[in-house]
Amino acid sequence: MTVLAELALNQRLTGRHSSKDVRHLEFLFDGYAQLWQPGDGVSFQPQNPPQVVSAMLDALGASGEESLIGPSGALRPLREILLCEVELTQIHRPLLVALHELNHDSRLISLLEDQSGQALAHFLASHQVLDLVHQHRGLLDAQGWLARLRPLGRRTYSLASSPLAHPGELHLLVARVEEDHGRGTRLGAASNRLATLAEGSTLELRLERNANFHLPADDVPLIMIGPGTGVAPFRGYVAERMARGATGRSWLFLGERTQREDFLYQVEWQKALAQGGLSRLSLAFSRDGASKRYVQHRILEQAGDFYAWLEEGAAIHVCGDASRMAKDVHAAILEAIRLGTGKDEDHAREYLQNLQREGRYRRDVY
Amino acid sequence: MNDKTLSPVEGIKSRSRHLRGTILESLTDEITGAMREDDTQLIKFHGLYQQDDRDLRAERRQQRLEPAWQFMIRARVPAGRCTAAQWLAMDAIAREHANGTLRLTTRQAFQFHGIVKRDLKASIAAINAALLDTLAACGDVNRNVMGTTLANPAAIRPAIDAVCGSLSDHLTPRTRAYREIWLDEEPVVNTAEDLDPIYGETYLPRKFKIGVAVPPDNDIDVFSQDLGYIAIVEDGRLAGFNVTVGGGLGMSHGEFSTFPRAGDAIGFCTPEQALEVAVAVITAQRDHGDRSNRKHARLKYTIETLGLAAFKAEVEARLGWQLSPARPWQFTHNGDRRGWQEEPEGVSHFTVFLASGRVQDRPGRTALAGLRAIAEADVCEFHLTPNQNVVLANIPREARAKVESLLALHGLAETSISPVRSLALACVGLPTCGLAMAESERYLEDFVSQIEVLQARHGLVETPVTLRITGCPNGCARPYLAEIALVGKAPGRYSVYLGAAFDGSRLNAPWAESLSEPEILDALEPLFATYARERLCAEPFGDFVVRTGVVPAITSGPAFADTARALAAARATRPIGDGPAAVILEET
Ligand SMILES: Cc1cc2nc3c(=O)[nH]c(=O)nc-3n(C[C@H](O)[C@H](O)[C@H](O)COP(=O)(O)OP(=O)(O)OC[C@H]3O[C@@H](n4cnc5c(N)ncnc54)[C@H](O)[C@@H]3O)c2cc1C
Ligand code: SF4
Repeated sequence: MTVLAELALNQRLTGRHSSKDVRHLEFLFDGYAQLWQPGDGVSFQPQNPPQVVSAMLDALGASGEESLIGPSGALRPLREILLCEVELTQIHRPLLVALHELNHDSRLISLLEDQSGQALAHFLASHQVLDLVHQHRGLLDAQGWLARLRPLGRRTYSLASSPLAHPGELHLLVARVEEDHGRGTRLGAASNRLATLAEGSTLELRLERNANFHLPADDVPLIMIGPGTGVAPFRGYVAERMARGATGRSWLFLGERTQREDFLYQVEWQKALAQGGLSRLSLAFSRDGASKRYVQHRILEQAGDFYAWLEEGAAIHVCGDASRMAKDVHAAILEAIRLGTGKDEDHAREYLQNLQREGRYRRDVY
Repeated sequence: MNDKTLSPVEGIKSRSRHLRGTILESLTDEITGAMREDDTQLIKFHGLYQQDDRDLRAERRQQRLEPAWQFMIRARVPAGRCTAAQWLAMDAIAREHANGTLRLTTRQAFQFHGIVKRDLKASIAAINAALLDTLAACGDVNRNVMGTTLANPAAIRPAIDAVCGSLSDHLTPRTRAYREIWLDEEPVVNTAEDLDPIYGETYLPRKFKIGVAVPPDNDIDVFSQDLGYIAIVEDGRLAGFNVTVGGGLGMSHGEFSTFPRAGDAIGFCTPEQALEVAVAVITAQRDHGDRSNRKHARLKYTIETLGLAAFKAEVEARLGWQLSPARPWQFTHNGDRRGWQEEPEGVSHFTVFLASGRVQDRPGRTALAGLRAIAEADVCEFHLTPNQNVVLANIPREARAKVESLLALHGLAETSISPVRSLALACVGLPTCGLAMAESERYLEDFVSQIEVLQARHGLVETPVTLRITGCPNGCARPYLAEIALVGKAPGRYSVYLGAAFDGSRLNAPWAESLSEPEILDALEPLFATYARERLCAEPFGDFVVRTGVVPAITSGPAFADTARALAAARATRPIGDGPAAVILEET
């Protein structure tokens, strides 16, 4: 299902001195509230940042007026194709393979043949199409590049609101991807589109149902682990449970860089704690102390209580970064169970698998 | 004591188990950068104020972040005497935990700003490691004891330092809470053991200030102190002190039951009796002060309520003996001496001028780095002055060249600062002080420049004038003892006070309300013009405006309030639509 939603608020949440730009967006739309639930997401079709398009045209020595063919198959000005049709901010293995076949580049060989895959993953995460055009100048003309680029795909964002608590509204929490790997700033397509979207403009949003990540029954104790933008669905959860008068206790683990600048929705959590909508809040700020503290450390520090909650029937929901966080948190949960049961690791693994089977351990990681 | 309902702070104090409260719990709570509400009162006794960066308030509200909570820590330095090693320790704390600047206060103490909650403990531990402390730097207790900088004759300096030190030590609260909370000492088993012979369970009704002045210098503004000591030197020796009581400068706009008051001399005591007198005055205030209304709780109101004679009798009853009559004294100097001063034995001193007491590095004037370098050379003492400057004291002859070159290197050698600039004071105000209604420290230098232009136009550049700006009527920079004072009323608008005595012995009078900068300058211009033409020989500006009837001579706190009331009434009845934007009171 798709709605045309109007952006009513585009508010930065991180403080002036933060190293990050994380935004709270509020869209307005009509109807269908009953179809959405906290834990669901929305997706939209992004455009590439205009700066990226201009840089590409420069690198290709093109004006942008050239009529060429992109993934849509239609003849269009190059500028429009770069803006709307192809991925410029992400690269994938097949593109490297294609380049390698064209010119047998020795750097590409070592990346593609690396068994661990780590070097490749790192290369893919830190490069964009523009970097490749620079590295392989003259290898392909504009049409040649277009033929090898992926169609620009939709991006998904978790719903950060509760249809019950915020009727007619749809909130998103968006971290602007803006990185510098030493070759100038590299922008993420969708997050920058959202971060710079003017209030009053409209955007087509598609509901992405996520039945695996809905709230458990009202009386079930709930442990929510959501560092970074992973906290988005839990804002919806807590608001929804408060609006429903749910009786189950709730324990939220949050992580960010600094307490002062990056405590996403700080005032709202303080209120929820005071009003009982949240029973417990554990925080991990990685850049505040001498040593880096993450949510998994907070779980381990409170392993006894964590296990006690599980024994009392708590469900665990984890949301956020898939590459490291999900694994580290998984390991910390296993350890808390091992300590709690006093048995070995195999037993802990079995315990957690059981939770998973019962639907009490759910993850939404990306 | 009266039986009106006690102010809420009294309840917080008596429940606090001698200033412990839940400070330890507040410190470990990561969900907020603030302390729990009751603890925000108690931490003052430990030398801390909770503040927030007001420049960021609106923005952070929209960011769904709480205010940018931060703390001010004040370290006590009796009479402002500080060693080079202590200076280095304070410098390190400023750079490691605070906002990279040090601030010297009008009470000769250090202030650190912008310290976040999780850095408080390390900062306070470091201050204590340098043999200074923060206990009782704020709160309803005796604050930092002030003393004249480099009193003359030099031979009495040790005796003055000894009196300041003993007052400071004996009037420090006895509670062990401070060492438990900040220095990780074992908690006492029974907090009743902390019982304090001077302060009791609930300390004083309000803050209490003591200062020791050595004529002819009234650099410490002795008449602004709750309890003042005016040294009497006879035959080159310290004979004793005249005792003054009931000074205090805080008041509230539009509340005529509040007023600044200059202290009264009530008699003379010997150096050995000074502490006993302090205990008698403090315990009299402890038992008779108003604990129902914090705006009416300072000693000055107790004295207005009881009457000066009755208060003196109460003090003497506690002493068990009578004060002898006050002896004659004369103040002729206020503010700090500028530049170099030489002593006969080849020892010298240099006053480093610091605008508003702020020690910071700026292009061309690296005060923080420069003073650090001088402290590292370890050739002098650092005396913090009541005018927020620092005197590099007792520099031996052989080290002077080295100090001179470091001063020059860091742009601190200038002695050409105008008298008005060197005397000017401002409170901290925005963005950190929660009470500020208008800019103060950040505005002072600008405003002084405007006054300098005005003075130049009338050939008054070398004439000293005391000028002070505060962000609110609370009086942190002693505005009511300035010849010209601006007190914040609203952003960009100030109430203006004129006519204090240059030596600090007479309050100024409310003169105009809610003026903008152009209005203030327009109103002062004709006064400067007639002052330049008609002043008597060496007549200070404050005396001139009183003699010529621009403002009345204020001889008591209530008279100040009457003038303020008349000004407000005149303003209320002024015709709407025409006339000046503010009423200037001609005479009452
Ligand atoms: C189910 C689901 C829910 C999601 N919920 C949210 C949410 O609530 N809030 C939110 O901000 N995002 C969320 N995301 C991520 C989001 O979909 C985008 O992947 C992200 O915003 C980056 O997209 P982009 O177009 O801006 O960057 P891209 O143009 O895709 O990438 C630009 C560069 O940044 C790198 N990159 C990609 N993603 C990230 C990242 N997350 N952090 C750092 N670098 C990255 C890429 O490798 C590439 O090099 C969710 C993803 C999924 C699958
Ligand atoms: S005078 Fe007022 S504004 Fe200035 S520091 Fe004191 S309380 Fe704050």
